[in-house]
Amino acid sequence: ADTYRFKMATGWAGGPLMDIGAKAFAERIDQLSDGRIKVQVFPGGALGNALKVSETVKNGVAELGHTWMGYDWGKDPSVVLFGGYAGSFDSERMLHWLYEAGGAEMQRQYRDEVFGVVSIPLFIRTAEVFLHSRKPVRTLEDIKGLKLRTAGAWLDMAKDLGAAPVTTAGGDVFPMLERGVIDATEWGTLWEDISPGFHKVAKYLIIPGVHQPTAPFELVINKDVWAKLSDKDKKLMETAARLTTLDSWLRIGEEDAKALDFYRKAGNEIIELDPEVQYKTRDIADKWADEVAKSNKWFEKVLVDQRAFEKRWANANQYRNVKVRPTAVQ
Amino acid sequence: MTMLALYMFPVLFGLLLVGVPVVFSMLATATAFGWLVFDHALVFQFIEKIEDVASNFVLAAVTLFVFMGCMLERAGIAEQLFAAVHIWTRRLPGGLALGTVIMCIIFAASTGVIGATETVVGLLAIPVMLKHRYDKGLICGTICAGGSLGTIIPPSVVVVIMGPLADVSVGDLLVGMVFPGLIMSGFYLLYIFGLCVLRPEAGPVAEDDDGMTLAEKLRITMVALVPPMCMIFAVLGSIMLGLAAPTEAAAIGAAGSVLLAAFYGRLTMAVLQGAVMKTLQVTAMIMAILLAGSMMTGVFIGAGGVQLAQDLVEMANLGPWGLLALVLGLAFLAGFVLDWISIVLIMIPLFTPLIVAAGFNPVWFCILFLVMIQTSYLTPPMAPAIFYLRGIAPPEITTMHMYRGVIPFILLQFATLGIILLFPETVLWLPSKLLGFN
Amino acid sequence: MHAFIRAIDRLTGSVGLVGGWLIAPLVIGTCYEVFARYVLGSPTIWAYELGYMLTGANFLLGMAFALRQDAHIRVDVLYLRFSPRTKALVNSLAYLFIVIPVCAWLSVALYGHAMQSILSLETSGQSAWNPVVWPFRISFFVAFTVLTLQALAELGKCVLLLRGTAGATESGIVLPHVAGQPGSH
Ligand code: NA
Ligand code: NA
Repeated sequence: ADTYRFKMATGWAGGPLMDIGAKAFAERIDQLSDGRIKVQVFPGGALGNALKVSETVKNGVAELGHTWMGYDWGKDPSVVLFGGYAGSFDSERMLHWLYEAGGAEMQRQYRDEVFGVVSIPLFIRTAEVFLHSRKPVRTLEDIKGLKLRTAGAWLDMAKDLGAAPVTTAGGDVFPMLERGVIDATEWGTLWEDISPGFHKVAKYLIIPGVHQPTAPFELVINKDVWAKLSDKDKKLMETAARLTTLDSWLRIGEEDAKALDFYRKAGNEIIELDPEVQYKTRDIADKWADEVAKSNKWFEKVLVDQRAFEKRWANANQYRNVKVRPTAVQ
Repeated sequence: MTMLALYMFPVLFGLLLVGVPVVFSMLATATAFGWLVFDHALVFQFIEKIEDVASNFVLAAVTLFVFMGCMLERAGIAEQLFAAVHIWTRRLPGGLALGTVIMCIIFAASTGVIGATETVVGLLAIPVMLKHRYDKGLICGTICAGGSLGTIIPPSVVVVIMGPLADVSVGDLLVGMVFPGLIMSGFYLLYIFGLCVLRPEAGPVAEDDDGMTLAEKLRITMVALVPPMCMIFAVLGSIMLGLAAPTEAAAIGAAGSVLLAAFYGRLTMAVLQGAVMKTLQVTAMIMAILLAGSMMTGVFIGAGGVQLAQDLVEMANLGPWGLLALVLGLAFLAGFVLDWISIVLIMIPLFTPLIVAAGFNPVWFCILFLVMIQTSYLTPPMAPAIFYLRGIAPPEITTMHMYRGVIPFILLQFATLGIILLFPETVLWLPSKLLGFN
Repeated sequence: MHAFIRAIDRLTGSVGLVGGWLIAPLVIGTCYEVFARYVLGSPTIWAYELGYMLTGANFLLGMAFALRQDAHIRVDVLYLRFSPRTKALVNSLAYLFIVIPVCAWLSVALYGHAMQSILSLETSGQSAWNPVVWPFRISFFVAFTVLTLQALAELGKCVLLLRGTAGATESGIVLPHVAGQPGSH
């Protein structure tokens, strides 16, 4: 059988996305193919531009890439529906939508048609930390005028929430938060945020990440490279990606739980956003999505499909989850 | 083991040696080898690199500080500033060079990019030190080494890139590097003072009496020193007080320099235009090298540079301290041929896990690595600090002056490395005291 | 050839002038952002993206100007000992085999890159401002095209020098600063 050596461009420097995402996939495909398919993983910015991995792969600078679709927002806004935004459902639903309700096929078709790459889900995480904040934030009143650092589409919606969002160079974020130029910043999930250390200069940890209830990531493959793979090897790639995604999901769940304890011990105060803030955010996001769908066919198509799915799952919390008194588990 | 990546350097050196400009030597090497590695995709890689470097807002600090330096120089404020410094330090051996290092420390605390600190202080200090017959090697060493403090005194772009690659907190690194940065600066100051005491002709003291009364001295100082100092502290203060991000503070400094020229009545269209075009020339030169360097890095990594480094370490098969020595040694050697971004991108993700597995503290390792990288700015042929100095120095300062001038400072960086190796607390103590809520 | 060289020198000067003065909106815009955030309590949505675009365009558009001024630095340990003719020879070979082909090749590709963003009206996707990227990308294309042209002009100057400088100085062309150091003007 054929042997391959692929270069994989990523958008990551290190951390879980690299370790249990890109590198885990490389190990998995090596193992499943009995060493025939070797993938060398490169950190963001090594081969191309860290935010343009899909372009790096499309142009053949790398055969494979691991990225978050949301980075391509400027080319087409539909990417946020696959990458997750303030209007997304949770990660459990996202996994079911992708793997059981035709989401992954839709993603494949969309990326092929609009961006010219092959796309397979790879890695998923749960709601992010909403903010590492120097001020306590609980209510809509607290958010009013809050200088929070963020990027992309969420910035627009944060304004509707009353915040004063700031965009800045990644390299300036830490000194800005430390000195109070900004009040708060978003970053990643609980576990991911331990390494960057924002919790050491911002006392309050605000959860849950209403701006990003879920974040599926993707494996992108150059079309010519994909076309040359045998059907069996294509299947292997899909299987390796799927196993890596499920592993990441399981691992993050456990590590996030441990991380919360870590922050408490580190002297941080954990604050849960008022339901009112959470509801309001979703309202804003729904309105935003309705607006974009009016002028974008793909966006409309995916949105309609996701909303039909969500409606089908409307009662899932009642039949899947049993209510337990909070005191019973503490 | 693929050797293709290694063959890039003889080609690069050949071109550099015959005098092809640095940016074109790198561009040629990147294109030739890139074609072998990426074939037709190479052009897309280059375009991505252009977009990457051109979209980096942190680099605005270079543009803005260079403009500030050019403006202060064109308006004659720089000369006046150092003349005032000289009034007080004229009897101190090497006084102007010491003043220069202190100026470097202050600017290093307000920017994290090496070209920014070096060019702004260089533009201010070189003419004055030349006028007072300072040794040209000492001038070069002071400016190059002092300028490179920009990345080891926080804030620093290097650790912002290094932190996530090593999976350590940028905050721990930014705070952890404070003492090492100060130790290194202290060595520079001690060395300059010691040298000028032993060899007074290196940094001559004025023998004559300047015939000025204390009142006169104070008056001149008030006029010449205080307003620029206010501007410099506005830059630093806006960061410390939480008004501005480091990059934004550079813009405040740039605006301040224009206001200052107006304050002294020296703001003319000719001065402004001159500063704008000089800034363009210097920043285009600096950033073109950054761009070509990043293209070369992409090709070097694509050609198997990472694999090469990995194989070397695996072949050596050493104990913990041997591994640490090998990695730091590789970083030093890489400093001769690669710019710091390449060194960090290639070595940090590869070796930090090994170093951690060997039982070392990753923050401490990163700072050791950071100190090692300081040498890469100064070691020819790929010596950014020397390139930047070349871009602003008058022709009577030759490249040989620069090569000779930086050697003592490279040794001082090794001394700093030794101190950190012996006393890890120099790195680890401050973050444990300053950061966190326990 | 003289007229061509003069025309290119002027073009590069004009492009450099435009590129150089981009620093004015960079300073004003960035200072305004600090003011808007700290005093008015409402940060702009445009300062960050405008800032990096101006920074990028500034240095890219300056590359040809720096070439005209011979400000791209060299490792000049040997170069300084060369005769003016040898220097001109080294430079012409570098222009002929490196700068002109590589930059022309990049210019063509950057033209396509810019055209594509004009046709698709691609936006940056980095902030709420989310501006179209084609003006920024046109600056890439212009920068490398002017750099190619300036390299052609510099090649012309070297050829004039190698053939003997007669006639060149009268026509107002500044010959390459083969004797000088970069940054000495
Ligand atoms: Na600094
Ligand atoms: Na070096």
